[in-house]
Amino acid sequence: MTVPPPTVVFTHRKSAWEHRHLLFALAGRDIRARYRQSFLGVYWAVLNPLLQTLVFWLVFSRFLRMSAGTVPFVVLYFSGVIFWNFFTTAITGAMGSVATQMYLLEKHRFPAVILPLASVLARGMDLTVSAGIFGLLLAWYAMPVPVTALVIVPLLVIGLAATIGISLLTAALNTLYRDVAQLVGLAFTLGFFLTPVVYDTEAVPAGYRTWLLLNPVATVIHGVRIALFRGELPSLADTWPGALASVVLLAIGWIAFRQLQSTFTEVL
Amino acid sequence: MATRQVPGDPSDAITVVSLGKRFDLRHERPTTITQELLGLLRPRLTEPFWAVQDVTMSVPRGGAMGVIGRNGSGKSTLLKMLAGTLAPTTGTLVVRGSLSTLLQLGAGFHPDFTGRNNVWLSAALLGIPEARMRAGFDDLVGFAELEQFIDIPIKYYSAGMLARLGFAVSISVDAEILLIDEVLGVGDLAFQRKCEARMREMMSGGRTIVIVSHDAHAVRSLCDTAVWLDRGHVRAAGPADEVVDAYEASSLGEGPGTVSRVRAADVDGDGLPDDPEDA
Ligand SMILES: Nc1ncnc2c1ncn2[C@@H]1O[C@H](COP(=O)(O)OP(=O)(O)O)[C@@H](O)[C@H]1O
Ligand SMILES: [Mg+2]
Repeated sequence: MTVPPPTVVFTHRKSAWEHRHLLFALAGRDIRARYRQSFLGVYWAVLNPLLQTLVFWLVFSRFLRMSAGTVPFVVLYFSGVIFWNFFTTAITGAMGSVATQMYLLEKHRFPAVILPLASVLARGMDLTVSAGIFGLLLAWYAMPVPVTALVIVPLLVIGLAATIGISLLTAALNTLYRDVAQLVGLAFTLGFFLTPVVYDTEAVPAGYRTWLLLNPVATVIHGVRIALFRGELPSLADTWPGALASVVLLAIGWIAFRQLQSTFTEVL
Repeated sequence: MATRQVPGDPSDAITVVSLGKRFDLRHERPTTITQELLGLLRPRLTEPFWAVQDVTMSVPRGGAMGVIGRNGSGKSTLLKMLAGTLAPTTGTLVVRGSLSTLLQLGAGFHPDFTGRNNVWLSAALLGIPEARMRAGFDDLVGFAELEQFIDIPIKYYSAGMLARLGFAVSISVDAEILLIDEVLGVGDLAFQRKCEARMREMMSGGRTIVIVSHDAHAVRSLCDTAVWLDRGHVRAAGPADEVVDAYEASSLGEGPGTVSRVRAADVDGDGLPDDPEDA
């Protein structure tokens, strides 16, 4: 039995743009909740990347005697850790953002996409603090920051597009399925090794490198290291695969979210 | 795209024609991706359930309409569609004017945050400009009578305090249409009076109000018209007094002397006689 599709007109519906302060209000609340227990706030942004870096240094450079070239191990690892952490924590937070804040969606009419975006934005705070620590590390090792570092801005756009794309997809699926978090956790465990956090892309044979750089987080880390440590710009050939993958991920996430969002408030 | 002709009478705030909401109740909804992938091999068993069906009504600008009916009759579903938080399955829905909603207690409040923080977030959710909120914040808290409690987490609030805060936020929006679901009966009598007075004030200022309520008295005294929903259908619609009378008569059974019989049958304690199929 088919029924004619509905005709719905709201003459005064507010646009996503008119709801922009909601984005900041939600992100602010997220940050406040995490930093209120100041230890935890500091933990995520400062201690966690430092601890990870320390363990990676112990395992890869002491136990396994891997070489990091001319760059101090700690600096090399930290430069990968901060982006990997932003990517994974942002997605983890955004993944649950719709399901756990259904009480807001059921009672207020606003664009649901604001929920995962606010989660990602809130993790931008951690990224900023971690980047500050990274700056201190560079200063400690007396490493100058070359002007090519500006390429970080477009690289961040690439990384952010991928992060938002995956966030939207997982946030939408998470309202329907309970195993999304497990699958994402598994993907992160595997993805960590396919991202140059504890190794340098230079060490990867050229044939594999092209494939590795399809990973947008790899593209970001690779580019940032070349810009910071060599004072050069990452080649276009090393950048476009990741950029393309980001755009595809963003499109998939956006479409999936749009498709599923009308059912968010229906699923019990 | 060409501008679409908006259906219905432009002097109405809300026009609803043959509106329907179907939920597809899946007997075993796959709850994991793995199950879903496995389930692609099997046919899906779904049972259509019309929570609201063929509802036609309109509310003129400045009017107040009550929606009454038993539990599960589709009142909240209808109101959510008017609020835009639930998409209709079929029919026509036109809402002409800005909206403010109070759908259930503590609408969109987070228990761990303070009253102040929740008010600010609600304001952002309702799209109240920040400057307006700043200017009106003290009035809002004053209206809710929560000056001393505004900076403690709302998990320590009583139901009445939550209702007061929610109501105060909803009316602070200054929207053209106010939708309220089952929250009037919660505060104490003095606060209820205050709310009613405020709603009357809003109505005389040309605002439109739709109230879902169990409280026959509130519907009678506040609303011009009422709709009685029964299992998703309109059972009666018209002047509020008449509809409420009919609803009460039906609830209490026909004729004198039936009240005690009804009381005896009210095992589910909703103050209404039980459906035969409830048993
Ligand atoms: N998301 C949903 N999925 C399936 N059924 C629902 C959903 N929401 C409401 N219903 C059903 O629709 C009917 C009407 O519910 P509701 O509108 O909340 O009734 P009321 O507010 O009049 O008590 C009920 O039978 C309820 O179980
Ligand atoms: Mg209800």
